[in-house]
Amino acid sequence: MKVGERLLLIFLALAFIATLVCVCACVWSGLVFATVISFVGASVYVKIAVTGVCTILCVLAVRGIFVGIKSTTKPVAVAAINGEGGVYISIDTVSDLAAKAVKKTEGVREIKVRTFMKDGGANIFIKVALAADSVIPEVSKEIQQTVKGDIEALCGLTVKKIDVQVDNSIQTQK
Amino acid sequence: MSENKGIISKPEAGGSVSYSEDVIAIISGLAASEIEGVAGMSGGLKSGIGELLGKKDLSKGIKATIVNDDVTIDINLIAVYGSTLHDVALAVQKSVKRAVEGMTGLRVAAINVLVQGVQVPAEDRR
Repeated sequence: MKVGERLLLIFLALAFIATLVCVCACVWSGLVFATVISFVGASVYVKIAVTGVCTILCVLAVRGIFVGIKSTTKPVAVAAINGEGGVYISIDTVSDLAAKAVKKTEGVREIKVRTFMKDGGANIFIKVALAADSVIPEVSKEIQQTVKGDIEALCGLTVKKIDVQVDNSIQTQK
Repeated sequence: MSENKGIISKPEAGGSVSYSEDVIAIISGLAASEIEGVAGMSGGLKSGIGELLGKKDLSKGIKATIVNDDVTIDINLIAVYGSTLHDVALAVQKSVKRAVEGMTGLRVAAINVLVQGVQVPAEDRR
């Protein structure tokens, strides 16, 4: 999602929250409701301004609906081009398979994976939290070997680089 | 063969037979779903809402495009975790090509398979 679209959705959410707060205030406090009605009805310019703001919010909300419906193209890795056509694997799938491979390693507690394609191969960045009694260099090497083996066997992709970052050590409860 | 947008017509004795992109997509979807290692097709918002309403979309995840006399089929699928994705995709390509060419007599120019995700089989989920 682009930055502009994110800001639009944040703005619409805030406008919606403000509207709900006003409605609740009006419902619970008759004084607030009477004040709002008297303020809005006081001048035709106020009515025009309120109508204008509501119209702009409606247009932005419709734009927000289109943003939500629009399907976003996700990055893919090219596994093969053959006589029948092309075989592609989404980057999310590669990350998912890498995470499942990391899970097989003993001592791993939390996993985050990010994958991107560069120089014709997969570059995988893995952030893990390990059990406190894990030997970090050994576990990291095992993670790299397992992930490389699984991705190359299951996806048919070349794995160029696997970076492992150990973020945290978690004490296992006895 | 004559071609209108999204429809390809083949002259036959006594007239012509026309095939729409939707029909080709449905044939492709059925052929792809039968391949071992395919957990299902990956559809968009429209298919998702249709399924919530109880309507099965046989062409979910499939897009067939007819340009001149050539048919190009794009397939988005979810594979079974543990299967070799490359082999599953090749099997899907062969099965879809055989089904479309056998049932319609049309020439399939290309079949592009995109593996959108993997699904752990139900018996392996804990």
